[in-house]
Amino acid sequence: MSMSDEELMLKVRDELDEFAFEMLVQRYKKSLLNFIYRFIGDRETAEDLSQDVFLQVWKNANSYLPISKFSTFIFTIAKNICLNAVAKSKVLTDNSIEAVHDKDDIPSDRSSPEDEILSYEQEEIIKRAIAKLSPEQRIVFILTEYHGLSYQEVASILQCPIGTVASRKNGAVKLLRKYIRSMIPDLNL
Amino acid sequence: MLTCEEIKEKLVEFLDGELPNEASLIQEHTKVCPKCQEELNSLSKLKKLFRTWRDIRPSREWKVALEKKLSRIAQEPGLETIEKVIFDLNERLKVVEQALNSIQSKATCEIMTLDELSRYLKLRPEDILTMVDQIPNIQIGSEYRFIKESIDRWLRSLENSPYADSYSWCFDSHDEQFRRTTL
Repeated sequence: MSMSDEELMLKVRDELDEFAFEMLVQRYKKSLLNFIYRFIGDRETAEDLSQDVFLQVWKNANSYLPISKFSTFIFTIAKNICLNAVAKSKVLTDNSIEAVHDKDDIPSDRSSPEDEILSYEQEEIIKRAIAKLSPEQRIVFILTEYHGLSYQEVASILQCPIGTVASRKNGAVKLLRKYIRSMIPDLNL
Repeated sequence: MLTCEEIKEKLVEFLDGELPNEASLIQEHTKVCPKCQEELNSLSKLKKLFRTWRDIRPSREWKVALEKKLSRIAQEPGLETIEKVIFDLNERLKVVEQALNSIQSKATCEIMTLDELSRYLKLRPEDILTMVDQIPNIQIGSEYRFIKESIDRWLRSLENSPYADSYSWCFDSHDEQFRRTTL
């Protein structure tokens, strides 16, 4: 029977168990990479910062308390790293947006090359739209929309009320819709 | 009873599954309200569009890069090691300071005047002057100066020596060489 994230993290904290740490890396590396990539907009930086998240998990293992979920713990670290990157101007800007997908990336379920091109363009537009959100709106939007976190969890990560999370998500979606409407009017959003 | 505007403001939250208690109320309302239905359709379409942004996979180098960073942490000295290094350096500093003090004290007492030598040998200055040629000395103009280390060496050489009266010592202050001449 596989151990829960929290059980693994306790082994890391109490026994410096490298195998348990490796399990957590395997479970969370893709998720963290994509969260940071959607926030930052640059793949290379996202890879670097996602590694730094795990470094912090290892270094600060003794601060882990199982009162909250491990996902809250690790995404809090990721959030802090992202906000520090904003402070150091590694933030997502319109100029930093790039097409980074290659053949190893998750394949879409679209059937035709035309659809493939269309989704690429749509993806670029979504990226540019997200770049227009505030850092806090961006975090709320990405975590709820792409990582399935509840508003409660996001509130724990951001240390803010649930109402604030709801308000930021609402504001983010409305802003994104406004931008996407202007870029792709044919979508009839 | 919620107004249309209030319901519209809740639709994002509703689509995120965050309103379990109000879900059926909202669904019922949107069935009969065209404007709210339109808003719900727009937001649903938008949600579908967001899904077209595909995930990326970590590169093949990602794991190697993480391992390199982790091994760098392992090599960094911990706080205890740093404290030990500081303690050792302080101890070495004390030894160096003591050595310096010792050198300085040697330097200040190394050269004696005639009066100092008279106190040291417990002889009168005028007696010393009568045998000054037999004592290691440095003459600077009309003044005599005596290097303590040389005086000590001279005294040891006289101790129990049957030839104590016969030896005359000259001391070269520049290269510390002795010339022994027999009177």
